Amino acid sequence: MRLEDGLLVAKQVLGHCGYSCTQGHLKVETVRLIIRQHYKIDAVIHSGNSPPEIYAQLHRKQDFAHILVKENEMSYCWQRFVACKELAHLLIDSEGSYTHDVPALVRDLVLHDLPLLQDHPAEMTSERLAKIVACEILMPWQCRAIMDKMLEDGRPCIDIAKHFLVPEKIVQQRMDPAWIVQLETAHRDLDVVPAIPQR
Amino acid sequence: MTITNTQIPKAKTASEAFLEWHSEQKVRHGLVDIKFYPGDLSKAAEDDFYKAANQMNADFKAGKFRVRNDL
Repeated sequence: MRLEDGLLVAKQVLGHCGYSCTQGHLKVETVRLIIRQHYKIDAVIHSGNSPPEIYAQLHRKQDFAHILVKENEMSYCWQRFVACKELAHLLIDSEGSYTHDVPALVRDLVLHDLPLLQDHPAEMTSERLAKIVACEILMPWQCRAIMDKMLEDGRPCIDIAKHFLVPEKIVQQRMDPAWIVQLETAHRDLDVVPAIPQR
Repeated sequence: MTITNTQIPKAKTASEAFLEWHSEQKVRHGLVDIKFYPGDLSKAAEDDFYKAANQMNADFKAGKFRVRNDL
């Protein structure tokens, strides 16, 4: 799936949620219910203790999924983000992107981090795109004026993180100028007009 | 009775245990896909990752996880 397709999915989910920037953060529970209603996949999110090497797992069956989220030593914001990233897989993955080779996936995960910004290949890996879609759902492009304004006012990324209830590290990646350029290009292709801040 | 080395069952590695679990989930429980969000892997090797996944799945199976509707 292309970046643009992932962004379109995120936009559709936000539309189904009736999300407005004025409401601040979007509940992951709302996204879960939208997936159940519109995508006919019933996901259940569970949390419990897990070793440090793993933050979450998605176990997907045909029309059902368990999402296991690490709870110990994980902030509420991180729990929200990793749960949303696993939900994003339900939105973007098809049989071709299912994990058929577990050792290869694990090798890839252990060897590589998954930054949002890469060389913008036409086709993205499911892992990376899911992370991007989760970002776009929890920190919507339509709200970028709010984020830009906060930065212009000299407020740190942690303030944006608190506004959207997402991890600060994810905000830093999301606000990377080079990544913003890629997003702008992709959103332009979708003919999305972002909100203009009132001055 | 003498037990030779060849009669002692070899312990499964973490990856073998995980792949066995994964195969069973596919065949018996209709699992079609599995994905992970990796955590702190700065000091981890692949085997550590599998150990963590096995532990997480065992705890989930044992009912140590709770449903979350509050995220």
